[in-house]
This record gives sequence, structure tokens and C-alpha cells, in this order.
Amino acid sequence: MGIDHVSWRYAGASRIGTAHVALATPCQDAHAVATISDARGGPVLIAVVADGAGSAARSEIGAGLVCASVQAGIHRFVEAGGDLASCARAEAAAWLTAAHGAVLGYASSHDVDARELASTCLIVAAGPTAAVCVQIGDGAIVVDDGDGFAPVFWPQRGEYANTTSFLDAATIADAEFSIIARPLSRLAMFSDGIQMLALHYATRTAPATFYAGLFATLEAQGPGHSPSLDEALGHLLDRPSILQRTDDDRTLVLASRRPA
Amino acid sequence: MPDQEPFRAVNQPAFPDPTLVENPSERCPVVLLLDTSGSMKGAPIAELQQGLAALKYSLASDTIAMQRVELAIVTFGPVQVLQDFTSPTTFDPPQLPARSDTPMGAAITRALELLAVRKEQYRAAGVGYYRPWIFLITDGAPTDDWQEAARLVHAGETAKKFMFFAVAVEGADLAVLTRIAPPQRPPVKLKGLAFTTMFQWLSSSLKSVSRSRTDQVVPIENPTEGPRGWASTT
Repeated sequence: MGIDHVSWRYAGASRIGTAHVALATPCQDAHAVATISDARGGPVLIAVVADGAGSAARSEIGAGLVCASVQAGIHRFVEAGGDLASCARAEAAAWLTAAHGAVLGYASSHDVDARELASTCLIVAAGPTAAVCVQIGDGAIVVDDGDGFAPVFWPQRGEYANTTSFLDAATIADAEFSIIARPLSRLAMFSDGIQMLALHYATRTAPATFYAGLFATLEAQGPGHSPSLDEALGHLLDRPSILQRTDDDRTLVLASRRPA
Repeated sequence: MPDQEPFRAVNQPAFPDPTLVENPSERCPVVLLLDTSGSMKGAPIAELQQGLAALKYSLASDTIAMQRVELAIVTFGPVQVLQDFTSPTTFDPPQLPARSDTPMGAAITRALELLAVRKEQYRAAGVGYYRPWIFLITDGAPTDDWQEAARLVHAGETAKKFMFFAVAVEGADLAVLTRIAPPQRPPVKLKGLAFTTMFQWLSSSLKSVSRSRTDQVVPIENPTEGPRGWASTT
């Protein structure tokens, strides 16, 4: 039995930043993780992270809508027999377009400007033999398939440190898109709130020291998803040592199917 | 940011702190177990607050201690982790409330758990550590069941898992405190409200510890002697 039949174990947490606490705005990060089975019964992990724009008034709603919509889109694709190994870029663009459509729908029915719902979008759909990765904006997807941790894309940044791109009709064409034609065994996704800890900017790498202990803890757990692990991850994201580095919201998702 | 989570047992999963590896210095964790019951209201809590500021200033201005000492605060009651372990440089003395009763037993148990979790994180990060300090300060008597906590304190002290110091402020129930404190380190009585002098002593003791090897026994200045003494024996 190869690695492709071992079930995923995963944990995720989104925590509010001190700057948002001070301004009495909610946590504008969102994430969604689920495992489903493909047509041949193989496990597929679907993970989405969205970081609502700090400048947008209702971006926590947009971030949540994007996560739910993208997850549903991938679910339908896999259920219909879609193969991640040969997933076309246009397919991923369709997931993003549908997510943006959900945002536009909410905006018109609630009479708000769609820009007030803007968010980034990080997507991973990891099947038994291949994984599709998509990214608009900052934050990162980091994978380890046995050769060490590496970011799939480098965070999309604007000219200034606090600017990035958000999901809208214009940015879908510029979305990062990549198919990893190997069975992924470990994956981490995070919003820009903890980017400075989880990425090494000068070398554009992902420092193993950040990930080693986290994955050791995750892999010591039984397969599947346990709420107590989400809670433990949230507790970590609220540690003083992490809060002293950022006042932004922080999301971290960890997934592994490497046996302990 | 105060820990608002419900009681977290040690056997629940805990992720290691990835920031620990950036500073591989050995750490000396210190838990301040502070009585913030209603009877501390007024001058005692104000002096204690001032003492904490002095402790921060003293440790944060010492280049070795600021990298090695980690401070946490557990207050009672209600039992609350007001500050999880943090370096003196980022330690921002929190406002101490003065209200409620004195659940000292539960607070001690919570402090021991917090310490166990932190030790686990040191081990996971490959960071060495000194024998932790637990510093209990109270002016009252436990209003909860303290026998089990006392048993854990005695067992931990005997196994050299930590050093437990009990400081009695005027009005404290010395008979009970003597039974909670380890027999090898009986409680001391604070002279008046000399919290600042006490924390200066704690700071200079921690500075000595942070300059020692982790396996070395550091002689600690007797707090009941000399002009810098801040306590009397009970």
C-alpha cells in the first residue's frame, strides 16, 4: 500500500490580529479544509485560505464566501470524475470565477461594493497522484514531497509592503497555477500574517526549522481531523512570541499523509 | 493577551513554538503566581504592580537575562493565565485585577501545567532550560481544595522539576502556606509591601542563574538577610 492510500491528517486555525482587535474589526482571514474521495476511492484533500483585505470593510464575509465556493467547485470537479493530474488552467479559473461570482452575488443582494469584500485566495487540491495549486495575492503554499519544504509560488506583492492583489475579474488571468505531478505528502498554507516566520525572504525558501516541529506534532495524531488539534494550532498562533512579530490576522493550515 | 481558554490539560496536543529555534539560548522559565483576590485591593496590588514594572526593567536591561529568562503570570482568582511565557523585552506588565476569592490550589495546578507545556516546547525545539522557578505571592488563605496542589508541589520540588517559592504578604494564612510550600523551602514573610525590593532580588537571582550552566546549582542570596533583605522567616 503506497502513500497515496494513507489518509490525510490536518489542522487549521485563523486568529484575529491585535490591530483588528484594537479597531474592533473581526478576523478577516478564513480557511476551509476537507477530504473527499475521487472516482476510484482515493483521498483528495481540498484546502483553501483567503485573507480579507484590511482596507475592505466586509472582507471577512468575502473571505468566507471564497473558501466555501472554491471548495464546492473542486468537490464538483472531482465528483464528476475530473483528474487533478490533467486539470487545465481554465478549470481552476472557473473555480475562481465562481467564487468571485458568489462575492458579486452577495454584494448586490446586500447593497455593498464588491471591493469591500475583497480577499486573497490560496488553493490546494491534492489527490492520490497529483496536486493542483493556485494563488492570488500574498501568503504561501509550502509543500514537502520528501526533498524538504519549499514554497510553490512566492507571495504576490505590490510595490509597497502592504499591497497585494485580490481575487476579482481582472486578477483571475494572473493567478499562479501549477500542477505538482507527484503525490504530495505534506503541505502548509498560511496568510501573510505569519509569512515572515514561515518564509525566508532573502533566499526565497521555507526554513525547515519552522515546519519540523509542527509536522512532528501533526503526524503524531491519528488520521483525519481533530478539533483539539485546531485548537492547539490556534493556541500556537496566539503565543506572545508570534504576536510580537505581527499585528495582522494569522491563518495556518497543516496537512500530512506521512505516517508518524 | 490573557489566556481565555478553558482549562487545558497537558495530555492534549500542543504544537511546538517555531520561534524558539531562532534563539537557541537556554531558557529559565519563571511563573509568577499572584494572589489578586479582593483583599489585595488598594496599596498591596498597587505595590505589586510597581514591583512587576521594576522586574521587567531590570531583566530587560540585562543582555543575557533578556534572552534566557521567560516570564509567565497566573493570577487567582479567578484562575487566569494573564501572561504566557515571554521574554522580558516583550513582557508588558499587565494590569492586575483585585477581586474574587482565593482558588490557590487550582492556580498552582494551572501553573504546573503551563510549565509542563513550555518544557515540552523547549524539548521539541531542542532548546535547553534551567530549573524553572515558581513564585507564589499571597495575602490570604486558599478558598479551594489545596491538598492535591501541595502534593504536586512537594513531589516536583523533590524531583527537582522546579523551585517553588512562597511569599506571604501581611494577612496570609502561614499555617496553610507552610503546608503548601516544600519543606526544604519554607515560606518567607514579605516585609511590609517591599515588592519592588523582592523583585529586584528575583531579578538579580535570575541574572546569576542565566549566567550559569544548566546543570549548576547557583547559590541564591538569602532574602531574609542583609540590607537588601525583603523578607523575614516565619
